[in-house]
Amino acid sequence: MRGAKGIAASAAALGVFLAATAGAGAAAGKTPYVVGFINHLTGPAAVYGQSMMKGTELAVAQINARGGIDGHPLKVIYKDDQLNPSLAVSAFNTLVGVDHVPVVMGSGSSTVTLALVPLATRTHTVLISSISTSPLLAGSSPWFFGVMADDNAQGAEWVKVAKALHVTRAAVMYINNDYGVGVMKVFDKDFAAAGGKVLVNQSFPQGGTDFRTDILKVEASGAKTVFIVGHVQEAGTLLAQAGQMGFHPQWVGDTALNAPQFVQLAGAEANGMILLSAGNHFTAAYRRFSAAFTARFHEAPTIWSDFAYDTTNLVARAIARGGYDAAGIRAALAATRGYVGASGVKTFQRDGFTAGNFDWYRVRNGQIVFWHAG
Amino acid sequence: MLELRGVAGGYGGPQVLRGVTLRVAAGEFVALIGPNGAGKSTVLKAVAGVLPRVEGEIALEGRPVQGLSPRALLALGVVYLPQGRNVFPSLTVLEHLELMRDLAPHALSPEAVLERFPALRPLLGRRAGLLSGGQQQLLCLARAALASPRLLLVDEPSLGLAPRVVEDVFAALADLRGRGVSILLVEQNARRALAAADRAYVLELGRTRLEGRGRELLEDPRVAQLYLGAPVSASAP
Amino acid sequence: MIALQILVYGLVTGANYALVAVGYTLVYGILKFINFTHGDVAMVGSFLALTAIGAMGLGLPAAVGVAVVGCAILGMAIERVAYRPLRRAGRLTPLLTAIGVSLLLENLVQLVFGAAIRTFSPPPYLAGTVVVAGAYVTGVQIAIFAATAVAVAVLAWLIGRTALGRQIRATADNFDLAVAMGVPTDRAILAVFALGSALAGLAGVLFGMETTVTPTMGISLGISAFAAVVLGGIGSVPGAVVGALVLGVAENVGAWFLGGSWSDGIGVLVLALTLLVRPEGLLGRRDPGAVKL
Ligand SMILES: Nc1ncnc2c1ncn2[C@@H]1O[C@H](COP(=O)(O)OP(=O)(O)O)[C@@H](O)[C@H]1O
Ligand SMILES: [Mg+2]
Repeated sequence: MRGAKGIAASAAALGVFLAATAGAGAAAGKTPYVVGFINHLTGPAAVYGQSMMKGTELAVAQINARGGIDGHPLKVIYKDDQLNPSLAVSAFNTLVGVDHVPVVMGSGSSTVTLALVPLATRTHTVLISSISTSPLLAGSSPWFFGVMADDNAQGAEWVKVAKALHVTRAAVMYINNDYGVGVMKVFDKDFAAAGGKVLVNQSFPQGGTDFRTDILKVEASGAKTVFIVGHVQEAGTLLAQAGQMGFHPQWVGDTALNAPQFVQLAGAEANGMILLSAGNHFTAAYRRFSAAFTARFHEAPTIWSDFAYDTTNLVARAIARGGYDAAGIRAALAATRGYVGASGVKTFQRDGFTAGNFDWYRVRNGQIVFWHAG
Repeated sequence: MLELRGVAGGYGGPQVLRGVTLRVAAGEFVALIGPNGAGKSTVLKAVAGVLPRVEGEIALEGRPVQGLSPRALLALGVVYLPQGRNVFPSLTVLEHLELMRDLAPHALSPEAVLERFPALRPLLGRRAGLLSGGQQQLLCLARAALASPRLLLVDEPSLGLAPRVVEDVFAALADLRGRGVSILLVEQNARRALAAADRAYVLELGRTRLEGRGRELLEDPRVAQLYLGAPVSASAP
Repeated sequence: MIALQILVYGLVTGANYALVAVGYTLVYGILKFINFTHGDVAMVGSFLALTAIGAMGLGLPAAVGVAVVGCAILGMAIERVAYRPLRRAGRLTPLLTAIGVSLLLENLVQLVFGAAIRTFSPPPYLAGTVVVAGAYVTGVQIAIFAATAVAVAVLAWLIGRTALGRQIRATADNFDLAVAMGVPTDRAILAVFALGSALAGLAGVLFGMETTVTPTMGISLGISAFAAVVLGGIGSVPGAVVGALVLGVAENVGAWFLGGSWSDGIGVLVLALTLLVRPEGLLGRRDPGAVKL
């Protein structure tokens, strides 16, 4: 689905490669514009951070191949937070205090990004996250921007899925962090408002490995449809364990689970599962991105790579329009309307998040395939 | 059997031993007496291979043995009973004997030793931590006997024991000596030690000062005054 | 029967903790410090098994062998290289070294295997499920119970009935006396690391089959096992096993009533309560030290 498609993709990739080689010299003339990047590059959530880093690397290579930003090459300093807010905070302090960057791209997890918001506000630094979607971030700071729509949109999208499936009673399993709690709460409210009944809201721990008793509780509630929000590792393990236990409900997942690693972990139990995807992925912009990504990294992009790619391009575009300083970048980002990115069309709202739309996917024979435009 | 010549050493700080010269002949029972803190225990540690720093000559049957580990010394027939409670509280009496049987090259069977220490037989399954002080000391001697040592280094075996038990301890030492074991005994109870020993040395401030037959030293006024609680006589130096 | 099912899950969790907990308690008994690298040794066991099954195509029994032997060697190497030179250096120094060794192991494994989450499936003969009084028990879970029981029994025999076991207990009881007596104390300590690490390797394989394998899995596994050790009484082998089983059941009962996200909190709660109410633990003594069996 997302893989390179034959000769056309290879040709496009070759083109990008040649452009990158040719442009490397062109952008080397003036002092670089340096920006920061903080994400989970090691630890339990490294899957996300690594794929976002690759999206960013691709964008930087392309920007510099085109001659940089007004001749200034774009340079990114990468920092690892290991999904640990205090590591993220010290990385942020280094980036702003030592490297004097006007903008930091990060982090992945809402929990970690939330820890950076007060620092961004205090130091007047733009903080732009690719995939943090906690509603707590909405309007949290004039310096915060979120490139993926927030969880309010996602919880409401689940209600649409429930309607399409004619489901009125369902259970929710949520990972116990800001992200999971955010999605759970919005769905809980909106589903009730739409006449549905949540049979049980069962939390499971971040970093957990044994979810059998949680599954037992959901099974005992009589739920035939289970909405699950979590990270790849925990949720994938959870589905595999449910399968071993003989519990086979209709699973509906969140955007974070729309990843081959999740399906691989969940095994056969993932078949038939419905998954959301933030943004639109059946566009020419996405195909160009995907081909270039595959050519560079010899692997298909994940559903986070394109958001990181867009984030980097949005930052470069904002520097070009507002100048290489935080206030200018912030004003230029806030004014972004209808930017066509790899992950969809981006318009920033007043709360800092882009307005979102979703695609629905379904797992068939271990593959995540496009099912429905939400 | 054992010969120390000009041995010095200590624990890393100031020297505790400053010139120890003594000899234990084969089958001989030698006592080392002296005031508290003179370095008696340190002498035994130097021989037993557990003192951090040793200089001078220590020879076992003419072979230099300084620097050898307790394990290597055990292989040469040297058994060391340190000062204090020398048992492993959670091991049973039988396990103490088995522990030594597995370590000593010429060990006797626990059964053979129990015949010599019949008082231990009813206690075989008991953890050593639950034994009385006298029983623990007997266990130590039984464990030492099991190794069928050629040289026994024993430090204050009568410390804190009731007089009747002290006699049991000395009887056990006499029995070992009767079987040809050479013994170097350190004792606070100098009177009792001198009565039992063939020969004795007096240690003062880390130096061997006096040497003599046990009974001679018992009668030596200097020894009597310093260590045996005799009234101070006018002839004292 | 939901209560019985929760009990089964609790005992499975606890059995895994037990295999790791025993290693903590053995090392504490003999050296009087917590070997915080131990959870990571179990993690390495998981990856060794993963390699044996995945890359080398071996069966599960051979993979268990690779993990058990590999971890025993790793444990001895850690003792020899990281701890032995510091044996007289107080208690804080080995703790700091342990943190260093843990980070080293986690990063090495991540370097070799990547950060991705991995699983290895149980062999077909363990894939089935049996129903016991209404509770479902999988083949893997039965294997976990059986392997834990056998491993703990073998350990109990080794420590309680063999010459090596007597030397280990003597060293734990009174290190200086053991040295003076000629007990090969270095070998006894190495043996303790080898035994504890071998069981951790076994736990790594069993845990890996039940859950997922990541380079950082040793951290939470280690914390849970440590809580189990304190609950059972530090230094006591039966205490570690009982503490682990109790903690496993408590975590799963908590997950039922409060939600699974509470299970880590329950471990911490159990730890705090034990230290407040009965610091010597369920089966420990007031004066910890000896390895008890
Ligand atoms: N482990 C030790 N470390 C440092 N100094 C010690 C140690 N043991 C004994 N000493 C010192 O060595 C000296 C002699 O001690 P020791 O041999 O025990 O005397 P004795 O047995 O004759 O009473 C004393 O001053 C004592 O303080
Ligand atoms: Mg003394």
